Parts: sequence; C-alpha cells; structure tokens
Amino acid sequence: MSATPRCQRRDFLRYAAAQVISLPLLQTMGCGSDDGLQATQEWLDARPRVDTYFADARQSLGDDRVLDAAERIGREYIDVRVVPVRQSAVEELLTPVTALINEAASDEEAVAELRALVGEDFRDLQVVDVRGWTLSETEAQVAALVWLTS
Amino acid sequence: MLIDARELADGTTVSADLCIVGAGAAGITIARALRGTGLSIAVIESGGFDFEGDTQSLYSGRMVGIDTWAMDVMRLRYFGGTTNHWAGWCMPLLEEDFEERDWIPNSGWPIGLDELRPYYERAQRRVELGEFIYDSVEVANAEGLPLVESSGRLETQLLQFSPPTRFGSRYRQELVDDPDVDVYLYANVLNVALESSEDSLSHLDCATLSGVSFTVEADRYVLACGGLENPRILLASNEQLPEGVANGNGMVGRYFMEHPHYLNSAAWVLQGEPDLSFYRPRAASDILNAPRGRMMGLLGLSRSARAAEGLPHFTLSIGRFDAPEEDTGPIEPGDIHALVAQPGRLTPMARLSIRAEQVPDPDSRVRLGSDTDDFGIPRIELDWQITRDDDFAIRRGVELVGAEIAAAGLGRIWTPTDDEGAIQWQAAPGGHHMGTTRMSADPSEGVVDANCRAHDVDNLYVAGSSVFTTGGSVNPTLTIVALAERLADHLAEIA
Repeated sequence: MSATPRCQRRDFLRYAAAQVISLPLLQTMGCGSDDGLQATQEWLDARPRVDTYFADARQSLGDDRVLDAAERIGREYIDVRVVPVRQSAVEELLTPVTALINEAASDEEAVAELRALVGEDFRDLQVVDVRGWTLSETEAQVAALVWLTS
Repeated sequence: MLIDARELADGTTVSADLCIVGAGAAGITIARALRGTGLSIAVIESGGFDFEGDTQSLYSGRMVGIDTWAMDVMRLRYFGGTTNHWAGWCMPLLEEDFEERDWIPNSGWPIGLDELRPYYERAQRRVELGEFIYDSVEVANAEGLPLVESSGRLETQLLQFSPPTRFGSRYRQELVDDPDVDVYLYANVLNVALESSEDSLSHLDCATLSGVSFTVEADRYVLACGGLENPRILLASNEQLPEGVANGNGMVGRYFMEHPHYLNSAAWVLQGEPDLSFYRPRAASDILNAPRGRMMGLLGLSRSARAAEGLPHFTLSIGRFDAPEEDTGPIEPGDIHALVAQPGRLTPMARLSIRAEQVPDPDSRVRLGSDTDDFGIPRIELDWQITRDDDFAIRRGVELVGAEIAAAGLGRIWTPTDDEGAIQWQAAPGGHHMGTTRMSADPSEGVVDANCRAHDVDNLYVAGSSVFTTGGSVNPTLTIVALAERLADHLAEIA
C-alpha cells in the first residue's frame, strides 16, 4: 500500500472490495443500481471516515464494475437482513463494521481486522444467503456500506 | 445349465432347493456364491441375453409423483439386469448410514457396517475393483495430492469406478457351466403363491410371453428383481391375501427412495487456484490395486457437521469449469450467466453436482396402477416424493460447504435458492430404486429382517436395494452386491 493517506483510502476500497468481499465473487455479479436509503446515507455522512473511504475510492476506480457488484450485494443484503427497511435497524446492523473502520488506528489495521472477521464469520457460520451466494456477514456489511455511500 | 423357458412343456413343474428370481447384480451374485454348496439353484430371468423390446416393455409404468426417467428406460430386463448399463460408481455406505439418526426419521438398519464390511470386500472383487480402501486421506497421501480442508466440517470421500462390470456377460458362463445351477431365460413370475398357512411360499406361477406356463417349487425363494419390481410382484400376488405377499403391515412399496441429483446446480467461484486434482476422475491409485479401476474424490460434510445441523448425507462432485450458457439453468443473468456468456469476464469457476440422501418417507411409494402388462399384471404407479425438509436440508448443507471453502480462502459458493431458502433446481433421479421392501428389526416397520427374510413369510428372501432402510448418498450397486454375498452365506448356513 502507498504511504499517502489518499492512496491508502483508495487501496482500502480496492482491498475491501477485492479481498474482504472476494474479487471473484464480485466479478460474477452483474452491474446494478437502485435507490439508496437517503436517511441511512445521511446517517453515514456523519461518519466521515467511512464515507470518505468509499467516495474517494469510487471516483478513483476507472472500472466501476467491482463497486457496482458490491453495491448490489449490499443492497440485497439489507433487503435480506432488515425487513422492513428502517434507518435505525440498518444503523444497528452496520454499527460494528463502521465502528471498526472508524476506530482502527490505520487503514491497514482496518482491512486486516475486516479480513479476520470474514474468516471468523465463515468458521462460526455467521453467514448470509444473498441471491444464493453464501457470504460472511462482515463482507456483506462492507458491501452494504459501499451501497449506502454510493 | 441354460434353459429357454419358451421350450418347456406347458404345465412343467421345476424343482430346486433355491429359486432366485432375477438375474441382475444381486441374483447373479447369490447364485455364484452358492456354487459348490450342493444346493440346486433355479435362476428365473425374464429376458434373454440381450435387450428385447417386448420383454423390456413389461417394465413400463406410470409416474404420478416427481417425474423421473421412464421406468422401462432406467432399468434393463435381461440377463445381467441394470448392470448392463450402469456407470460403475462404487462406494460403501458409511457407518452412520446404518445407524438410527435422531434427525433422520425412520433411519436405522438392524445391521451395522461392521457386519457388512467383509462382504463389501467380496463385493469389491465382484465389480472388478481392488482393495477395499475408501479412506480418502490414505489415498490422497499415497498420490501426493491435497484435499480441500478447513476447520474440520468438510470431508472428502473416495469414489471408485468399476470398469464397469457387466454382470451378465462377465458371469454368464460360470453359471451356465455349473451343474447345480439352472438358468431359465424368458421366464416371468406372474404370481407368488402361499401355502394355505399363509406363512410360507408354496410355488411361483411363471409364464413366457410366447404362452408357456410353468411352476417353480423350491425350499426357499429369493426375490431379486430390483427396487420397483420386487414390490410389484409382492403386491400383485394378491389372490390369497388382498394386500399381497409379505405385506401384513402394509409396508411393501412404501419408503421409495432415490438419490436426488442436482446436476451442475451449485457453482464454486474459485479463489487462490486450489489444486483440485483429487476431485477429478482419473486412474485408480496404485494402492487400490485395481488396474482397470478409476477413482475421484467427492466433497461433503463430516458426520459431526451433519449431526449438528440435522442434515442428511450428501456429496458434491466438482465438475466442469466452462459450463456453457445453456447449462446455467435458473441462474439469473448478472450472476454466473454473465461469466460464461462474456469470455472477457471469465472467472475461474467449477460447477458442482449434488447427490443426496432423502429422508425415508412412507408416502413416497410404489403402487399397482390400473394399466396391465401383456400378462395382465398391473403395471407400476410410482409416486416418488421428496419432502420440503429435504429441499431445505440440501440447501443448508451446501451453504455449510460454501462457508468452509470460503473460510479456507478458496472462493465462494452459489446455490440455486428459492424465496424460502430451499434448493431450487430440478431433482434428477440416479436410477437408484431403494427402500420398497425395507429391512427392519420390528416387523411393523419393514418388510424383511436383518437376514433379508420376509417378516411374514419364512422361506421368502428379498435381495437388492429394495431392502435398504436408508440410502446414503452413494450409488447402491456395491452395497447390493455386498448384501447379496451376505445373504448367500446365510442361505448356505441354513441349508
């Protein structure tokens, strides 16, 4: 990873999308777009580090395919986990991941912790079915953040 | 000796110590195993040595449950039976398959793997395979190939491929040449007649399509006609007892089981270029000592993982990496479809085929239909059912495999899933017909006892997969042959 903060943020997104969520998985998912949850996005706007990660990185990626796929996973994950969709419930669902990102001492630490959580999820069967894909709760939550900040 | 039943004088009575009805894997195995015991054996086979349409059409029937292969296609009615077109897949049932599992209703055989193991070793030779080694770790180590492993929930099972042995052509001459064995071709059993006491068989009424009628009288009888025809014969023999023979508890024909196959259903998007060589069909390892045999690994869950989740037995074979568009079935565009349709986006991906055990269900059954065959015998009405719980269980099982693969950093699994979380894919049959004369310790729960003897009829035995209490997830032929070897030993002992 680059030593500069901006590059770290870009790398973080790539890392999150390509490693935490699993690049081959993302490559299988088609592009998608949908209405966001405005209220939840506002909630996330109040967490600048998370928002900056994804906004900056999104702009930095020439090919939006990976992010689009992550958005799709995230959107459908929220649909699976939060019925009916309510801001408070989405906040509650995503708070652990946003807290981890915001409280990490560095981007590298955040990525490492996320990856570790993904592995733990699979070992502990903390999994979720998103359109037939067996995903870790953590990776699906990262995807949800990608969608909500898009 | 070989006898064409069409050349018998009408009204002939054939006598033997033992009569075996059906010359498929089970019947031929029993006859072979009893050579030299001094028993005179009559083998009654409906067909000749080759496929003939008029005989084969006696197998026609109607499906009223899950549509499956036509019943006169999936099995063969001539000497050698369905081994004339089997694919040779061999694997023994696992120890747990014989046990009563709390999470599988109606499970639990009255015998265990230990009792069957020496007969599996014999069966291994009958299907022209070598050592009875199904320890995937041992074989993988010998081959120097890795297994897919993670936290211990995954388990690799070893499948061996018989050449495949065609029992008809392979063992024909041995039986024909044996002075104690008479093989009657073109001989059809129309009725199983009871003594007046109704607790033992008196004789078999037989006929040929050419119009010759004859009778077979024996001390003991073995019905070895397969999982559909065994119950049909018993149910149709209802002149003396309206419910048929050996059916005092109404169990004949019930608990029909298949191995639901979900072919090329799940997908594995690969990550990290795992070495999956062990899971590819290839020549048998040298330690198996089977020059003509082949083998491959199958993925599944460990016993403890299935017990923890209350899941049936199932295996996953790792298949094609380049599934064509038309093979992607109900995978929606945007998922895997997009991968295979756009080479530029191709991601390494394997298709997975699931073969599963189904929970024994009394409502999944063989009945007599209203149509009749050329002899006036009612044709089969097959009502194959898979419970909704089975559909959920298979989906959950594959999800667990997916979690293990992901935990190992090897990618992600996709499974076709409906809105309620059950597997959504057309279940195909394996042509494995099981359970219709199931083995049980309690007569009220089955048709035959631990020795394959009918609970209700003291000189009637049943051989073949119809006696399976549960089916595991593996192809039945090796177990059919092992049980036949065991039954032969029993018959020799009591003779």
